[in-house]
Amino acid sequence: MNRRDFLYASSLMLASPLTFSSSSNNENKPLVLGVFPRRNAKTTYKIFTPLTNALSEHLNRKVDLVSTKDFPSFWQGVQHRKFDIVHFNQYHYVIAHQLYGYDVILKNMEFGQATIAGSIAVRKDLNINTVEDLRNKTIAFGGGYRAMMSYIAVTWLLRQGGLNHGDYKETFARNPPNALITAYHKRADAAGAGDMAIRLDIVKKNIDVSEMKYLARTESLTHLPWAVRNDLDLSLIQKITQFLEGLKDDPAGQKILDAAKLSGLLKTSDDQYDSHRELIKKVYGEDYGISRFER
Amino acid sequence: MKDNKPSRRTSLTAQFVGLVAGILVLSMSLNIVVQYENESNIVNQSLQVRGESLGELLASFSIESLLLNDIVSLNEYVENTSHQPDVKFVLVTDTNGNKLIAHSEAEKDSALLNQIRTIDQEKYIQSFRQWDDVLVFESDASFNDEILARVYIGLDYGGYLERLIDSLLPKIFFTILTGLFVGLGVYYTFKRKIWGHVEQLQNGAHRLSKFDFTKKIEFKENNELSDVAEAFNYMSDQLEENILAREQVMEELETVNGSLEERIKLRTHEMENLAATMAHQAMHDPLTGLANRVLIVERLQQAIMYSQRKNVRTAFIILDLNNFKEVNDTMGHPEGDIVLKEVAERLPKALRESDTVGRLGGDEFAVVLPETDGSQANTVAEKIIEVFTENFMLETQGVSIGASIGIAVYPDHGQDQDSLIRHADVAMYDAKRSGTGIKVYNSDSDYYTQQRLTLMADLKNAIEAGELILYYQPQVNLKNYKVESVEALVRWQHPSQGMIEPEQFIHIAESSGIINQLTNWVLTESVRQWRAWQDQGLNIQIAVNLSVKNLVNDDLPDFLEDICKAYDVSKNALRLEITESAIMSNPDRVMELMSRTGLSAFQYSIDDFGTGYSSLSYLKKLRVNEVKIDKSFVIDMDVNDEDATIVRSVIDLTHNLGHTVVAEGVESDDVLQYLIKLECDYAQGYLFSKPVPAKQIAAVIDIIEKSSSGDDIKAI
Repeated sequence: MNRRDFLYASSLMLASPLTFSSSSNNENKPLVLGVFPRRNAKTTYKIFTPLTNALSEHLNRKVDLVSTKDFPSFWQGVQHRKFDIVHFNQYHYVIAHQLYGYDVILKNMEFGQATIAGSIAVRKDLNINTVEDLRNKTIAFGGGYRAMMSYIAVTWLLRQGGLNHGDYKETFARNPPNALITAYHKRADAAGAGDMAIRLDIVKKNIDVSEMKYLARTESLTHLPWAVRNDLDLSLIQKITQFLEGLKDDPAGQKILDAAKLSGLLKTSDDQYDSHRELIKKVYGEDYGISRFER
Repeated sequence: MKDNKPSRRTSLTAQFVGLVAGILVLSMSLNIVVQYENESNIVNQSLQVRGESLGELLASFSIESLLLNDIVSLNEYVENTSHQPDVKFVLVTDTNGNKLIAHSEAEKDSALLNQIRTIDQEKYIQSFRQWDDVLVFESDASFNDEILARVYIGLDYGGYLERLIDSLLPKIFFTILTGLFVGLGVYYTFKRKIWGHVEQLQNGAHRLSKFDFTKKIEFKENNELSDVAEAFNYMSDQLEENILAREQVMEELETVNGSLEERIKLRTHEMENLAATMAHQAMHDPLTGLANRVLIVERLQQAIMYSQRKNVRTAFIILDLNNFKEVNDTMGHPEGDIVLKEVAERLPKALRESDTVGRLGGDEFAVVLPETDGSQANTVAEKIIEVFTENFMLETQGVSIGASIGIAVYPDHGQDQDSLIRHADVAMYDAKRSGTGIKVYNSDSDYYTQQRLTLMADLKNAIEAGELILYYQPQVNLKNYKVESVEALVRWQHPSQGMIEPEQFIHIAESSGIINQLTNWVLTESVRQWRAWQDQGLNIQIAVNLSVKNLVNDDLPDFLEDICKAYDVSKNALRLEITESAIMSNPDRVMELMSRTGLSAFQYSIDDFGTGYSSLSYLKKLRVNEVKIDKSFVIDMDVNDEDATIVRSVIDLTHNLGHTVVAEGVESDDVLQYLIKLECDYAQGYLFSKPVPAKQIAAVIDIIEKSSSGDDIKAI
């Protein structure tokens, strides 16, 4: 059994039905914190375990951190409202809010910013200067179709640049850093990822970011959300919200946030994701692509 | 102990220990080398397998990451792979050769990685392949036959070798330690178990060498060395026994040797004396102690050489004893030896210190007179003659011994010793023959000496050659003028010299040792002749002269018996004549001989009576029938009163003793008449007849007997 399989098995065990409960109102029942596989499961567990433990300690209630090996597994958990608390991307929230009764409570603040823009990055030495230059080129998206910044926002940029589906080749990287690395290594001509991705250590570690440039960028949009199941006890929600938001206010909390690769968690509301809704409509249509992805 | 060991001593312990430890170290070293080689090969193979496996594994991992464009995960895989201690670097490139990911643990290698990010693939790989200790493995990450990426893994071969060597170092160290321990262990064991025992054996051997048997060797163990100790102790016991036995024998030998040494010393002394004596005897006469012929000749040579240098003369004297034979023959050799010894004592008194006197042999003596001429030598000779004037006192009586001296002078009579000796001898014989006593060599006398030597040689053949003949001289009975007996006188008809008188060869016969043979011939011839005369009707007794040597011949009685039987002759047919001097030389012996069986039946005459020194008591005892007065007294008795007196006395004495008397040498009628007057019984001489051959005797007898008064008797 290799490491992948082991992690996969572990995550399955951790994500077993026994772990989930349709109701989280039972105070003895652990809260389930689901984090979408933005990063690999190991990293996800690593960076969010301190937060989970802190929350658990604060709530005086066990909180189980769950991250799946792939997005379908994770989304299944969302669809089945397995998660009491869930951290995912903006598109996930829009759909989850619309279909599965999740309400946003917090938003990420990364690199000191609570917003993020989608961007198209290319190697400087490829003589690609406009979006139009990407025609017939290969674009490595930093996420799948549900990736808000890495795909939806980037697709919108491509549409804005006059490129429709079919005018370019799509290839998908595991995540935004990989998209950038893929484009850097010329495995793709461009990388679609959130504009902050290029600032990530993992990206800097693997490529010389000075050789990359932004070809296009969207407006800044609200960062990745943290949502709760709308049937949670309000007080619980408030506790959770306050605790997580307060992390940035003390060194211990800051350490937890540093571990989670966050600058902070800010309280947010659903309406801050209306811009996303507009952008999503422009790419997937009025139904936000629900008919394409959810049925 | 003979030292044949090599000059350089090498300890057996060191050799053994060195050998064992050396073998062990060598074998272990070889083992290490083999192990190193094996493990190097294994490492090589392992690295091959590992490199290929790692590459393939990483390549397989890479496929998903590459397909999912998850370079980050791929990077983690690559980074984790590069963390492995033997991974020098990991490189993943795309199909275009672009480096996707590269990791190396070594800082310098990372720096190199960073430096060559822009360098093309091949050079990148080359840079690592230039390291001798890096094995580069290539693997392709393929999916659906499409190569998505290439994975290069560089394994640190040198590190493996270093680790291998590091892993072997303890073994090497262990090997050395083991060798030391084994060596020490073997050394200790060898020293304690073997060398200790060897030392005991060695000490035991040293004790044995000093014959110390008090301590035995005891080994507690029961092994080969204890067997050696047992054998050693047994050898020691045996040696002790042998030594004790040997010591005992040695003690006995010492005792024997003690006397033996004394005896050896004595014998050595005796041998030395004997050698000296023999040396002396080689040059000296054993009887007299005088110089022998060898020394005499040597001294003569020296004197001659001296004379040659100094131009002086040297005289050489040979002297022969007169009448010595008679003394020797009648009285026996002991008496003769007394005479010789006496002579040896007397002679030096007549000589100088520088003179050499010696005995040549028999009764011959010689004197070397250096620086002496003939006249001086003659004077010395006269002195020598003087020393012989006194009688020589024997056991029973004194005898008169004279000397005949011959002188030869260098260079007058010879230039060398041989000629001088020979000439002195000739002179001596000349002196003897002439009765002069002393003769200086004269070349004229050489003849007789030569004649003598010739006669001696011829005489031996004369008997067998039939050259001898008997003549017979009648003995006339003066009372009746009958010839009752004849005296047999041998004559030698020499083929070249003619008739030789017995006086010329009888003494030669005696000196040459053939007298018995001669006498036997005479006796045989006489007996034969008597038989012949008997057969002719002539019955006369034959008188035969015997010497004392004949009497001492043990074969004589049987010989006489035989010839008498052979010719059927009674013993009365013969009358045996023996000279007075011969009888009186040893009268007891002569009487004994005459009384022997076979001889006692014969009649005996004392011949040449008056010339010896007859003892009247012996005359009475002797079994003689007649006495024959020597002709020297008879021949002139008619004119010599002394001779007449002697004759008369002899006749009277003889008659008184009951014997008959024969007067020899009657050559005149006057003498005959005198003898008749003195009542002599028989007479013999030329008046009656000279000795004649047998065939003439009958006639002679007839003539004599026909003469009745004797006046008509003429010398026949």
